[in-house]
Amino acid sequence: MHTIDTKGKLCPEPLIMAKNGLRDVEEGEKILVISDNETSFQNLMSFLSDLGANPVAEQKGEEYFVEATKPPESSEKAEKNPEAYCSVPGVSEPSDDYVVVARSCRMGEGDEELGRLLIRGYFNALKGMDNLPTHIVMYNGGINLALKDTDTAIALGELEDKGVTIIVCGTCVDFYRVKEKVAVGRISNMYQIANILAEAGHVVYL
Amino acid sequence: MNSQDIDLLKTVEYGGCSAKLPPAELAGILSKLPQMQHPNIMVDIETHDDAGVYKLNDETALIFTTDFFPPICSDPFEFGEIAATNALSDVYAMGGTPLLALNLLMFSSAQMPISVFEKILAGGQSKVKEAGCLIMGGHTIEDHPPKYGLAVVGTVHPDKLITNAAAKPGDVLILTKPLGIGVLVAAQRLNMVRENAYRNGIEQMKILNNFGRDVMVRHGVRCATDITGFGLLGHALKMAEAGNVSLSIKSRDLPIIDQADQLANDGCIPGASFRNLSYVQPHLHVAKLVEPHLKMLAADAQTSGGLLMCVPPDKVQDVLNDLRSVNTHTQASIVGEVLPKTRKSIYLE
Repeated sequence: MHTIDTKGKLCPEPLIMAKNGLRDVEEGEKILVISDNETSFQNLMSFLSDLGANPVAEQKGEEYFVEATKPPESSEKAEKNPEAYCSVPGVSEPSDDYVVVARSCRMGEGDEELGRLLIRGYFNALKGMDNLPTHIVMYNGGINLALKDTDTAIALGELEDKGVTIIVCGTCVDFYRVKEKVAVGRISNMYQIANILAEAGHVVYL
Repeated sequence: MNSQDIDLLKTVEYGGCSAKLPPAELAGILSKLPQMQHPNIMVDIETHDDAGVYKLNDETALIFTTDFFPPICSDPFEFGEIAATNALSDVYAMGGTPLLALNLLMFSSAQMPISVFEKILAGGQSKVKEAGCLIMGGHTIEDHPPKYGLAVVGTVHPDKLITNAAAKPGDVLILTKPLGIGVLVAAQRLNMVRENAYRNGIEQMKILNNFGRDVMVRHGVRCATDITGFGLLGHALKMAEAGNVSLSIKSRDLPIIDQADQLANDGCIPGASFRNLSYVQPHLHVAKLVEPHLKMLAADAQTSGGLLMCVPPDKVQDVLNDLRSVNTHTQASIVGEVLPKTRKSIYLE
C-alpha cells in the first residue's frame, strides 16, 4: 500500500502529504497515513472524511495508522458541480440525490389523525436509513411539523444532525404567524425552495 | 545578528490571532468568573463582543479593548503595523473612533537585536497615527518569542454604538475583507505560496477598518463584529447567539484571498481552522454540496480581518457600492443573511 509517513510533522503538512498521496493512486485504491501527533491525527481524520476517503484508524502505542480510500472522481465533482453529479453515476455512493417535501402535517389523504401518525412514523423510519434525502422541504401546513414542542421537530433535528438540510417556507411561517415557534430548520424563501426542487434527482411528496 | 536577517515568522508555531486559546476553553473559564455589574456598562463580556463599552454621559461612551499576539509575518515593522491595525479594529467594529493607545510588548533583548524592538514599535505607531489616535506609553516584558499589541480606548456616541447583538432577521451579511489569512501564512512557512499572493495577504492585514466603520455610520448599520482568530464561523456564532437569531452563510459567495482557495483545496489548512470548526460544530449545519475546503476557509483564523455587518435590505446596495468604491475594499461581498432563530445558529450552504 502507498504509505505516507507524517511523523514529526505538524498541521497542515500531514494534510498536504495525504492529499498528494491520494493524487498518486487510482480510484478505489488505499493509502496508509502514519502520524505520531494526536491533533494532527484528528485533523487528518476530519480532512479525509470531508474528502469522502472513508478513513479508518488504528492506534499502536504513540502512533496512529490511518487507511483511506481514494474516492471516485464523481464524488469530487459533485462537490463542485451539482449538475455533473446527477449525470455521472457514482461508484460507491447512491447515484441519485432526493428531496422530501411535506405539503401538510399529514401523510396521505384520509383520516387526519392517521395522517399525523404516519408522518411521525415516516421521519422516525427515515432516521435509520442509509440513503437520506439531501433536503426535507416543508411548506403550507407542512411547516407545523417543525414547530416547537412537537415530536416531529425532534426527529427533524436528528435528521439535521445527520446532514439533511431542513427547509421551512418563510412565507408560510409569516402567513401562519409562527416565526417565534419554529424549532428546527433553515427558514427560507421561494427562490431557494424552487432551486432545491429543480436540482433534486427526484422529489418524494408525502 | 543584524535586524535585516531576522525572520519573525520562524520564532513561532502559531502566530497572529491563531495563537488564541481555544474558544470553547476560554468560554468555560470566563463563565466561572463573577460578572461585574454597573448601570453605565453598555456592553460587557456576556455577548462576546469586540470590546467593553462604558457610558460616560449622554454624549459619550468609552470603548475599551486590547489585543496582542506573536508574529504573523517575517518583518518586524510589518508585524507592528498588523498588530496595531488588529487592536484598533475592535473600536471600529463598534462604530467608534480610537482615542488613546498603550503599547504592550514582550521582547527578549538576549534573543534578538534591539533594533527589532524599535521596528515593531515604529510599525505600530505608524498605524496608530494613521488612525488619528495617540500612544500614551506602554509596558514591556522580557519574553521570547516576541508578542505585541495595544490596549485602546475609543469613543462613540451612546446612541450610535454598533454591537454584535443587534442582528435582525432579514438583514443581509456583508464581509469587508477576504478570508484565508491563516491558510496563506501556513503556506508561507512551507514555501507554497506565490510571493505576490503572500504580499497581497500582508497588505490586507494592514488595512484599517476605519473605512468600513465610516460606511456603517453613514448608513446607520447597528450590528457588526470584526473577524479575527475564531474565523468567520466563530464570530458569526457569537453574533447569532448575542442577537438570538440564526445566520445563513453562502460558501460560494465568500471572498477569498488570492491563492488561498487553491492552497486550502491542496490540504494547506492550519490547525486553528479545525479548532474553530469543532467549537462551532454543535451549532452549525453544513449543506451537502458545500465544498469542504470552503467550509475550512469559513473557519480559518483571521488576523486583522474585515468587518462582518448586518445591513437592512434597503441599504445593502448603497453599503456595497460605498465599500467597493475604494481600492482597499474591492472584495467586499454579500455573504449571507440573518434568519429567525431556530435549532442551528449557522446554516452554511
